Amino acid sequence: MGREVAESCVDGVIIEMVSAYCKRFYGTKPELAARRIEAIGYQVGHQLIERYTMERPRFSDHLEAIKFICKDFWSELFKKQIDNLKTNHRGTFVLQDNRFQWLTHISIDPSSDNSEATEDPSVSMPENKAAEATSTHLYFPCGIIRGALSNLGIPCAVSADISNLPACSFVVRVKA
Amino acid sequence: MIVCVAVIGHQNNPLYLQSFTEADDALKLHHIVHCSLDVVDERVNNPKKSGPTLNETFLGMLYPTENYKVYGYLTNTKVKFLMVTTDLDVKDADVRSFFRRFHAAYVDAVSNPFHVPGKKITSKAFAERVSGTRFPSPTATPRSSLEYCRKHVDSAPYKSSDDASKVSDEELKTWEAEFVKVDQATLFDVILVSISSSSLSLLVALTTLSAYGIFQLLFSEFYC
Repeated sequence: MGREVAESCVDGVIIEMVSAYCKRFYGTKPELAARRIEAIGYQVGHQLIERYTMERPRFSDHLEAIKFICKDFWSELFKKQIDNLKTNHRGTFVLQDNRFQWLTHISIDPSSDNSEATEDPSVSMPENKAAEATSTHLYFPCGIIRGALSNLGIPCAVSADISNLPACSFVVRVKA
Repeated sequence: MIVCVAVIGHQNNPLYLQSFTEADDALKLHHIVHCSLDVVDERVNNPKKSGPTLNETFLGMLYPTENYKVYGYLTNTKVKFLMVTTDLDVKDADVRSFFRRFHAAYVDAVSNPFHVPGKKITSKAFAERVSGTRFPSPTATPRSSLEYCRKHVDSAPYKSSDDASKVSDEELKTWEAEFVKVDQATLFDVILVSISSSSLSLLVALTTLSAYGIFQLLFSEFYC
């Protein structure tokens, strides 16, 4: 007896949550909004990893845990796997998703074309604002990854990199 | 008989401790659970002893005391489940299936958004589910249902001659009336079994009718 929820509802709730926290609850304090959203993601990741590792034997090292996040965990959440995993074998992992589901509803700002008109530093504002707006939507998945890994016993810091949209990368730095 | 179950967090903090015996035994059981934490650590951190089952979640029997046996289970998130039982002949498969159901109940309790990770589990639903999983699931047919089937099968050939069949029908009715005058617990177990094995529809009808009779009695007691 399973209960089902439409994926678009979940996407909508997450977009609305980000907008509510950034504009209504902490409108004047964007860093606090970011921290709060990340904390929500942390708890969600914490609980989800408990559920998805139920049938599995334990992981023998960090790399196996990260591979589990890339394959099984990501497919449970987004029905696809992480497209590319890079590591420097010294505690840093880069998880690249070429088409991140929660960013598909966000348009990529094409206004970078009018930067040849003036050389004002204020022209770079629209780009920055677009980048900022997009990055607020990535605090939640960063929190999910951080919560999942810390429940597996791997304390880490997770940040998102949006230099080439629609692909986005999550950089995981394991704390030693 | 399972006498105690415990959930211990990854920092060896107790998250849930429930014993199913009288109060004066409970402290002894808690002490046993505490001592078995060392055995869990030893099993997990010593690769030479555990061999190929190093990363399995089910740890097997941790150690036997004079009256009890302790079984352990370690999840991926370093949460330990411990189970103390007084049964002398426990099958490995039964313990594994118990831990699987227990793990499912634990995951549901932890997914509660009001549960603070690291604090004790205070969910009543979890406590009820744990008390429920102690008893084996009614997949095995209890002896009483087999008796019932056998009695009906044996009485079937008597329907050939009239006199003999009348007597056997009455006998059968009295036997059935006696059969369902059991206590409520076994009655519900029998109902569950008969529902799960759908061929015993007569048994279902009979037991539900007598259960209904019990409810009527209870209601009349309650409201007068």
